[in-house]
Order: sequence, then structure tokens, then C-alpha cells
Amino acid sequence: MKQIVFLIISIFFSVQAFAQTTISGEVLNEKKQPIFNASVMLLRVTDSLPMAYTFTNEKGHYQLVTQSEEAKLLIAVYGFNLKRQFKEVENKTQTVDFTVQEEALQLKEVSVKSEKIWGSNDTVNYVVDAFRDTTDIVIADVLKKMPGIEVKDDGKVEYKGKPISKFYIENMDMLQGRYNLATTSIAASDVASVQVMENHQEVRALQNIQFSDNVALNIKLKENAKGTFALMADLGAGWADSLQYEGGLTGMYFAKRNQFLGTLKANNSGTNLVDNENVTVYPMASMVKPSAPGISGVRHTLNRSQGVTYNSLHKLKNEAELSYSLLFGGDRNRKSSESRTLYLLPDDTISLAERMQSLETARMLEGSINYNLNKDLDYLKISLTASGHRNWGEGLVDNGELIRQEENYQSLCAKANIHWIRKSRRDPESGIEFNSTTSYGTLPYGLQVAPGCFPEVLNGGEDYATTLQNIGYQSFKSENFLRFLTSVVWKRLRIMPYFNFSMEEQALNSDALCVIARRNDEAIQPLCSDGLLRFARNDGDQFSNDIRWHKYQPAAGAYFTYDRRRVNVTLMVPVQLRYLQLDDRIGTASDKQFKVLSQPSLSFRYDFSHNWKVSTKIATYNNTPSLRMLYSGYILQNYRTLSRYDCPLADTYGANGSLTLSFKNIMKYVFGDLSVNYNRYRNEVMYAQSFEGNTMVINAVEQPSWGDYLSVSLYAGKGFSWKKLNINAKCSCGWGRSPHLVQNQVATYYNQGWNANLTASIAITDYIFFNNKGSWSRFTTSVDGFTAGSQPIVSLIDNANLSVVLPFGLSVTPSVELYHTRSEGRTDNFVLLDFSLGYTFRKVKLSLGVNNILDTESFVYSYYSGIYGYYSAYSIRPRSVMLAARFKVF
Amino acid sequence: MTKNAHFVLLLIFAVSRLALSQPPVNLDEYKVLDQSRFIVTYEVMMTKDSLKPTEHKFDRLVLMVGDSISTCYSNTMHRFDSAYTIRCAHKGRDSYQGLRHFVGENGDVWVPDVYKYYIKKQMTVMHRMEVPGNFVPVYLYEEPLDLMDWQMSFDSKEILGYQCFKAECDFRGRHWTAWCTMQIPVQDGPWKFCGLPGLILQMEESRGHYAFRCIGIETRKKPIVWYNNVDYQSCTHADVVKQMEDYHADWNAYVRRVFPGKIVRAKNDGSFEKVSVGEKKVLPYNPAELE
Repeated sequence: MKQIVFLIISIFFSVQAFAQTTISGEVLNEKKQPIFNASVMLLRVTDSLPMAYTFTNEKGHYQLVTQSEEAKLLIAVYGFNLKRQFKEVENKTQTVDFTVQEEALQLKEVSVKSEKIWGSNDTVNYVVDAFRDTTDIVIADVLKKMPGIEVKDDGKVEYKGKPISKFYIENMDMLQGRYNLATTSIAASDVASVQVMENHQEVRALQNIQFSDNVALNIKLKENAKGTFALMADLGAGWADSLQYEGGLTGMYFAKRNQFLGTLKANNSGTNLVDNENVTVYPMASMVKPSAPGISGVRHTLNRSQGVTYNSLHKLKNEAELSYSLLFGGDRNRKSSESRTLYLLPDDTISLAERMQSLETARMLEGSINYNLNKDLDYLKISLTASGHRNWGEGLVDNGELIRQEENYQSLCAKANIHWIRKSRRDPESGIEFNSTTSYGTLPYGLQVAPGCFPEVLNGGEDYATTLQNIGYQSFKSENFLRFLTSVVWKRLRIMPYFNFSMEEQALNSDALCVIARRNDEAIQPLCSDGLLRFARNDGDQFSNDIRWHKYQPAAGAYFTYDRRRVNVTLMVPVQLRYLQLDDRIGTASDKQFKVLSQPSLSFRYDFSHNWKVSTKIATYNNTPSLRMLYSGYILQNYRTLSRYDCPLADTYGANGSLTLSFKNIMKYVFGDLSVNYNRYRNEVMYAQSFEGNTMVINAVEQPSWGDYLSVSLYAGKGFSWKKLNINAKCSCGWGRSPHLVQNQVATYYNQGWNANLTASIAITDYIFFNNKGSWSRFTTSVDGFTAGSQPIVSLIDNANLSVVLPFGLSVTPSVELYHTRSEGRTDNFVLLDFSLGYTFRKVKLSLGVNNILDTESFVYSYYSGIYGYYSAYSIRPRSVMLAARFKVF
Repeated sequence: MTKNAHFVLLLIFAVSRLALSQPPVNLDEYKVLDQSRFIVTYEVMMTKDSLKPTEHKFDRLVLMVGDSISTCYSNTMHRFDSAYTIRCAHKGRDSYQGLRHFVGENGDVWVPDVYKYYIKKQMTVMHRMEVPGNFVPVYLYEEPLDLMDWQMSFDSKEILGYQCFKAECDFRGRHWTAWCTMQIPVQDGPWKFCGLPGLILQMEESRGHYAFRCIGIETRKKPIVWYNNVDYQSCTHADVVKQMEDYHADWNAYVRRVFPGKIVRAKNDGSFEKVSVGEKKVLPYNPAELE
């Protein structure tokens, strides 16, 4: 029996010994160094399926045990960045060593169908790569394709049809209002996501205290774009009717605590590098000059422009942001058009046809510095801005006779703002807020018009050579606001008393001079040439102004806010004392007024659900005309308008209300807004416009009148996963009633306008992209009780472009713009055709663009405004060819 | 009422606006541990209630694989944290919005974040309990990497163009099947799963309650970071299991224990009613780890 048991045990062990194979060895690299953590796998030779596996230890050793009865075995050795190695070996216990080579792992990428948009109630996040395609260069190109977002030609952004109030890059606001520098500079490929924040209260200390309906946008950069300095260069040259060029350098640095964006640009291809962002004073007179159409500046701006900007932001130790910017720009712009202006009079229509040319030069210099400490309990913002603009212009108008104009003005503006909040440490619900804004602006202005256009008024019926109009205008404004953040809180109702003091001072000095000389119809004499012309001052009071206007307005009131999870109500009840004084040192218009006013306002918002919200606003207002509409001495506004206002201080009272229904379903990429606005006002005076031939004289007459305006607008945006289709639609219609005193008759003008816009973008395939923007509008104006009226102006515009990405880094983009305008029985149709060829060579993007291939000469547009109808054929850039390169210098 | 009660239980304390959510993490305050070499995205399917086996919830997990460290986290939770980070910077009106607002239809949140340290062969698990505000710390515990005892099976299939082989294991009360590829030679996978000689592209639980499916792979360098400014509390896996059991056994009692305020419930009309002390609220409990 013992023998049998021994036999069975021996057979068992021998079988075991036969079945178990141990393979061990070491894995080294080519330098004989051990490889740690490499995978060693034993595979079945027939189907390469794994039987056993192990990992090498720190010394590169491995050991595998198998009970397989296969005759042969396959050993695989592999690891991250190691070239995989196989060895076929006998199925027996043995040592098998490997020497492996390094090899970079090439992954077969699988792209995730990412949700393009995600977010919560008030925040929407757009994943940029889900919207971007290869033809997009800067972030503005991608923003255009995001549902709910629109980008204007100048790079400014709107969300659901509403302009954004703040633009952050990595949560920091470096560029203040001039954020279009960033949207047109930051590379689309450097941005990870775009975040839109609705109901954005930028002041942390006011969060939960003051409801805000502002929209802000934040750009989140990809990790590799942060903390590195990038310098982009643009270079281009071409030909239109003369040599065309564009060039620029843009330096950018965005890090956690410091940001910088600087540009150096010059072009004559249609981009204007001078803007009026911080200008607070505007001329009271102007040359009559061609009015640019609302299409891309590249089409119509025939200019030479240069600009330098420097913007930087530093985060200080106390987390405050210190930012400063400096801008310099110059622009010289040539314009020409043929226009027709209609004065829709009750019993007649006066038509004025003008051929115009102008050449304007502008220079600007602006500097600003901002300090912003934004904490939960403390807020301090100090901002100082100063800007200077210098403008010269000369223009010719041919309305049957040739009129020459020259203007020359410079504006200096300065603005300071201090906004300070301190909340109690013991009770964070209470605190104090102070906000003070002071601005000053001065604008000396000069206009010369030859020949003299108002001989009856200015020169006793005698012809004369030139009218000179000098206007000096100064404005000072200070607004100071003090508020106790909480004095009473009952349940969710909060009452916050406030005090406000505002003052405004304006000064106007003007002289209308006519240059007496024999009028020479054959040749307009050079202006201001001493010796040739004789100057005469109109000494009468009615041609000069020396007026001071003061407004002091102390106010006290309270904010009542009710804030619950879904409901927000804010009621503001002020009591204002207003003192107005007009000090007319030459004329007889001096006047004083003292009034007690109250202009309450109410806003209400209710969130029905995650997707639906309704909000309404009702506000009353009171306006007094500023000095611009109170001067008693004649001012030459332009060659055909001589105006003076002769009436006591008067008021306009009004109220406006709006109701907005908003819908947003982020998961389904649907955005929508329906809003109704109504405004009604009552004027104490009317402005009488009377015509003497083609010239208009404005006088103010005390006669109460009222007008109103109703508008309904609908915005809808929908994105689809299918083919990256994105559709944005905007429709609006408005009806207005406004009284005008024309030729001693009161006439009510009825304006009606309809407008519909549809933009769509689609990626037909991975290589073919299509964008279309269509717009239709219809305007009518009619005059109550009179036969005179006008025919509707109808315009239809469609812009389409197709981008096709070809192999070898090539892409082609043909685009077409169709315009159809019908007004006053006249129909204008024209087509603008462009073609662009793109080529990407390493990191250089080259483009060859041919614009206005059909060489269309002018852009035709018309509209109605108040008692005017306007039609213009504006000269645009002729056929042009431009070869441009964009590349990253480092 | 049950839906509302489940959705929003507002707790009135010194802070007036709070809603049901995990404590958020500020993503701006971190230290970099490693750099990812590639990023894998998984879709995770969950069955929260074993009595309703056909009601599945989904989330996306992101696995960032670096040279010596990997991290795996919920995409939904990351978005919630991103929004919180923006709120920290801007203090927008969003501040009272909880994690639930970031969850889509059929969505839920895969709670634990896992950091795997290849060299010291350990993983750190960061677990956030679903309670409002910052009243409960973020639990941290460590576990070894070799938690699973894998058995190879002779089977293979192709997933997303990668040839995968099959392996199985029993892990804390559930039987799992893994599909792993040699073509991506890292010993990693979704959540705590690791230890196979290749990346795990798919994991399936035998009862169909849980599954992880790879839906994306991309080569991308991104920092693998550890968030500093968080109230972490070290504990063990058993401690977290105990907390989760208490939490699901009676939610009201759990919240009352961790939160020093009064509990109110939002009613349909927007007003609140007090939740009485004895009121019990049992939540379904079907965790991925049964033991």
C-alpha cells in the first residue's frame, strides 16, 4: 500500500515538474543599465494571447512561471518608450535576457466627442477646440461660430445681442474697454475655453447686495500659452489704385501675476488705428462729409494709419491688480460719395443732392492707469485716464455750386474715478460705499466754409467769400455717490440709504465771422490768405456766444432690494433737488431754475426654472438740454445749417419699460431672448426747423409735445453637434411717433422699421466650411395729416463665404456679398466678390487675397431718421490684391 | 416633495446661500507633481440603486498619465471646481450653485479622485462627501497599487483600434472583467484599477451595475497637479466606507451631525420648512466597493 501511495505521489510530482516552466532573466538597455518596471509577458505562440505577465524589478530582473504544455513560448518585453521585443523560446526552465532599445511611443489618438458647451445657471463655457477649424487664426474667428455670441467688425463682442461689459483674460481685466485688441490678436489655437458669465457683478463686495445684469467674458488659455512671451508678426503688400501695405508686431505675455499686450501697427489697407473710446466732448459743428457705410472698414476705408499700444497688468502682493496702458495713433482718411438728403416736410419733400469729398487727419495719444483691489470685504478702484485728439479736415461739396470746407479741432479729456467699499468685519452684510467720478474735457473747434452760404443772415444780403466759425467748448462733470450698504434688513428685504451729489459745468464761446470779399464764382480763393481777403467781425450779439451753464443736483434716497433664490427685486426711490443756471454774457438767454424731482426705477427678475427667466425694468427720467441746445447766438453747424436756440430752460420727462423673456438650454445649445421695450417722453419745448432754400435754421419754441417708441426684438441661437452647424437669428421691429415743428406746423412723424438677420456656419466636411450672413430690413416714414410721405426703403444683404482646406497646407476661400436696395422708386443691385488663397508653410500663414474682383465703384445704402431720408453711393476700395504673411517670431 | 428634498436641502447658518454639493476646490492654488504624457477619457456607467438596475447614470473620467504619477478625476467635478475657481476670482451670482447644476440629463458624479504613484506603488484617494459648503473635510486615504489579483483569460477583442486582451479580478465584493492593451504599455486604468501590463480600455462589472469605457486618447502635455488650499483629512478606506454607509442610511442624521445649523427643506413655492429632528431619510446605496 505504501508503495502505491509513493508511486502516486511521485507521478504527481513528476507531472508537476514536467508542467511548470520558470523563465527568468534581465532586461537591460543598450548601455547595459537595468530597465525598471518593463512589462514581460508570456504569450501563446498560436494566437499571441497572454498566459502570464510580470514586471521587471529595480535591477531589471524578471521571473515568469507557466504550466503551459505548449512546445514553444513567446516572450514579449515592452514598456513606455521602449521598442517592443519578442523572443520565441522552448518551453523549458531557462534564463532569457533582453537588451531593449528606446523608442518614442506613438499613440493612435482617439478624439473624444466633447460637449462643446457646458455650464450652469449663469455661466456658459465654450470649448474652443470644438468650434475651431483650421482656417481660424485669432479668437474672434472662433467666437463668431459659438451659439449666443456675435462679434462685430471691430472685434467687439455681444452675447445674446447684448454687448459684454467686461473682458477678462485668465480672470484679469488688463485692456478695460479696448478688449478688441485681444480678440483680434490672441491665437485661436492658444485658447482652451471661453466663459460667458451672465448677471456678472464684478465687485465682490457687492455680490449678494446689488444685482447686476451685465455679461462678462473670460478667456481661458491653454497651459502651453501661459507664461511665455509670444511675438506675432504680420506683413502684407499689394496693389489697389496705389501700393497697399500692412504690417504689425504684436507681443503678448499672459502669466498668473503679470500680463502684457503690445502692438505696433501700420497699414493703408483699411484698418483705422485711431478710436474715440475715451472721448467725452464732441464738436458742435462739422464739415458735411461722406458718411461711411456700416460695412467692414477694409472695404471702404481709404486711409493711412499707424498705431502703437502698450498694455500691462501686474498683480501686487495684496492681490490688487495694477494696470496701465499707453496708446498712440495716427490716421489719414480719404472719402468720397454722392448722396441725396430728403427733408420730409408736411406738404413737400425737399431733396438735396451733393457730391462730396473729404480728407481727414487724426492723431491721438492716450494714457490710463488703474488700480483694482477686489476682495470680499474691501474694494478699491482708482482709475485715471487722459487723452488728446487732434483732427484736421478739408472737404468739397458740389450741390450745384462748389463749396469748400476746412475744420480743425483738438480735444483734451481727463477722467478720474474712485470707487471704494468697506464692509464691516463683524457683520459682512453692512458697510459703506463711495463712488466718485470726475471728468473734464475741452474742445476748441474751427470751421471755414467758402463761399459764404448765409448772406441774408450774416451779411445783410450781400454775397461774401467765407464763413469762419470758431467754437470753444469746455465741460466739467463730477458725480459723487455715498451709500450705506445695509441699514435695515428684514427677512430678505434690504434697505440701503444713499446720498448723491452731482455737478456739471459747461462753457461755450463762439464767434461767427464772415469774410467780406467779392465773390468769385470761377475760382474759390485760398482761405485765410492775408492781403487777399478782408475779415469782418459780426459785432451783433446774435452771432457770438459766451455762455456758462451750471447744474447742481444733490439727491438722497434709498434702494430697496428683495433677493431670494429665484426672485430679485430692486426699487430705487430718490428725491433730487436740481439747480440750473444759464449765464448768457452776450445774449439775453440768462435763466435760473430750481426744481424738486423724483425719478424712481424698478427692476424685477424671476427665474422660472433652470432654463427660463423673465426680467422687467421700469424707469422714469428727466433730461434737461445741455448747452449744446441752449445757445442764443447763431452757430454755423455746417454749410447748410445755421442754428440758434432761443428759449428758457426746459425739461423732457419720460419713462421707459422693458420686458425680457430669456431661454437657455446649455445641454441642447439653445439660446433665446424675446424683449419688448417702450419709451414715452414729453418735451416742454419743440425745435422749429425752417428752410430758406437749402439752408435750415433751428429755433426753439415753447410748445409741449410728446412722442413714443415701441420695439420688439427676438434673438435666437442654436448650435448643433451635426457638422458644427451654428445658427444665430435676430429680428426686430419698431414703431415710433415723434412730433416735429417744421415750417411753423406741428407734424407727427411715424417711423416704422423691420429688421431680420440670420447668420449660419457649418463644417460641411472636415475640409469644407461655409458661413452665411443674411439681413433684410424695411423702413418707412410718414407724416400724419399730410399727403407728403415716403416710399419704403427695403434692403437685402447676403454675405457668403466658403473655405476649402486642400492638401499641402493650402486653402481657398471665395466669398460673395450681394446687396439690393430699393428706395424712392430706385433699385440698386451690386455684388462684391473676393477670393483668398491661404498657404501654411511651417509656422508661417501666407495669404493672397483679391478683394472686390468685379471692381465695384461704390456702395449704395439708404435709411430714414426722423424727418430725414438719406441715400448715399459711397466710393469703396477698388479691386485690390494683397499678399500677406502672419507668423510667430518667437 | 421627495425630488425637491433630494435636490435642495438648504441649511441656514451664517451664510445664507448654500446648496447641496461637494466642497469645491479652487483650481488656481496647486503644485505641479508631474507632466502628463497622454490623457485618456472614460465614460463611467453607474447604477445608484440596485433595486432599479436599469436606471443608469453616466459621468466622464479623465485619466492623465505622467512619467511617475497618474491622476484620474471626474470631468463633472472638475467643471464644478472650475466654476468655483471663477467664482473665487469674480464672485459671480453663481456662488450658490451646487454640483448638481453641472450634471446633465442621466448624469451623475464619480466622486473619488485617484492619484497613482508608480514608483512608491501607492495610490492616494481624495474623497469628497456630498454635503454642502466646506463643513466636511476632503478625505484622503492611501492604498497599495497591487489591490487587484488579476487572472488572465484567453480572449481578445479590438477597442478603438487597439488590440486588447481580457483579464478578470474580484475586487471588494464585485467581479470585474478588464480589457487591456499591450500597445499602450502603462499599468494603469480608470479609478483604482491598475496592475495589468497595458492600459485598461474597458472595465465591466459582472452584474452590469458599473462599467468604464474608454472614449478618447490624446497625446497632450498638461501638468498633473495637487490642489493645496483644501481642508484635507487623512483617514483609511474603512473610515470613508463608514461615512458613506452612515450618509446613505440616514441623510438627515448625517447632515445634522456634521453641520451645526438648522435644516430646512425648499418647498415648491420657494419657501422653506424645517426638517424635524426625528425625520429619517434613507438614500439608495450601491457602491462600487461593497466591502
